[in-house]
Amino acid sequence: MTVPPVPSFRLLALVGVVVLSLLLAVATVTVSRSVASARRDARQDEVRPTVRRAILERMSADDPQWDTWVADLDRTERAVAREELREYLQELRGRDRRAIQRLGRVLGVGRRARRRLTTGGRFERREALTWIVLLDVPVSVELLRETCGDHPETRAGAARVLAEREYPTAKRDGTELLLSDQTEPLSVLGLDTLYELNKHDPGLLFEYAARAYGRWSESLLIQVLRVVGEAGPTDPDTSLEWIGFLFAHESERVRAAAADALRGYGWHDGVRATIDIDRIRDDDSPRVRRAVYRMLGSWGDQRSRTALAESIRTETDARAALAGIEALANHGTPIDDVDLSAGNGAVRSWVEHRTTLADTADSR
Amino acid sequence: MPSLLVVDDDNRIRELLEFQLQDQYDLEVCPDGRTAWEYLLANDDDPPDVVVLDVMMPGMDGFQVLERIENDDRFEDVDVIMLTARGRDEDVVRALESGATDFVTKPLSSSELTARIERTIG
Repeated sequence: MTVPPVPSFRLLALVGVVVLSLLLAVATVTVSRSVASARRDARQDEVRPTVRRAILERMSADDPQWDTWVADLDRTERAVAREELREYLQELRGRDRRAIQRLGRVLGVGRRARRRLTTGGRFERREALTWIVLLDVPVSVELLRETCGDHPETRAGAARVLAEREYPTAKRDGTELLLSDQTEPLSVLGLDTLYELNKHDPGLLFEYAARAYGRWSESLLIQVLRVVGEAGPTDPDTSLEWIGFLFAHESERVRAAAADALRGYGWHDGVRATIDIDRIRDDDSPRVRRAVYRMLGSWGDQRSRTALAESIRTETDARAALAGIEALANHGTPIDDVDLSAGNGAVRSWVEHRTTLADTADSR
Repeated sequence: MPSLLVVDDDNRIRELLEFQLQDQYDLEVCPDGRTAWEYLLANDDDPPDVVVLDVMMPGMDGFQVLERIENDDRFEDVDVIMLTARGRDEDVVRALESGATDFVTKPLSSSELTARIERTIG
């Protein structure tokens, strides 16, 4: 039998000293950094009122002489001036904003933002894009494409620059930039920017989607469909056929999103002609059927209302039946004589309740 | 000199407006709706000619202050200009329907606000 070696006292002591030294070093660095940070914050708080007052005074002057003022600032005052500048740029417009943008140029913030766009990491580039918007720093579409195409957040930031600055090609370039990666979903800013770019006329988005939707991930597809559903009407000649194809998609989320996207397109002859209502209202998924019922209710024409009433009669899912009844009711169709399947007693109770409420309101 | 009450919870906006308007008006600033309402009650014998009122404030918001001003006979000569966020059209409609004389959207243009105050005072 072998006895395991016992570590010597000297070795244990050495390990203890090393660990203790490391802990002390970490503690010293942490405390030093905290003290330095607290000193910096205190110094910034001290100079902030003076810096802010100087900015206010110069902002409304005919000749603010930013160069002279900035030349006399120390490092802390410059940092505070940059912070104040950012806040004011977000809160002001018009003459005030133009005046303070000149301060940004004198402080070199715009130059630094352009430089960071080409050399910085992801977070630095996002920060740079914010300054580029705030200061109206001139940047080309090519530069934005070259430097910001690698991540959904930087793509969204670059597209936002195009949208905010109203570039002539903002809609096309911004949409392409946002949708260039076909696998990752858009960030929140990206989704909002896609909507901002296309909200008044989504025709270009439709064209792009018709070419590319087959390569998009499920999440991206749903996001684009959401924008399509919220955006304003497109040209009546624009083809929406690609959305019709999505009713055969394997994902029920995509099929439901397609129905939601088309709620506002009942006026579109092409949509009504190409969508097979009888097929999609028989979808296996209650989630999809709910969306289809909402879509048919929104369209509101006689054919849609008839199809909806028929579906409700045979609907076995209570939530889907409820969605169908609500869709009919919201468009003024009397619901008290709609035939419900035997399994939807709760829905029938709700219909009766709603009918009673309507009768009470009428009798007043 | 016409009197003006500026009510905004944003310290920077208050400072900016105070700085730019103090030479032209008898100016008072308040950081929130409740303080503004208390100021008005305390000065009901000589209320300001115009109240510049931010919509979004913690506690008592701009609409609540506006409603109280509109429902109180002591302040029937007080004009209210609301500060609303850009894109919040429903706030503009609500402000005008509730009795506001005018509105200015944020981000703010102090020259536009001054012009609207001048027009309101006549």
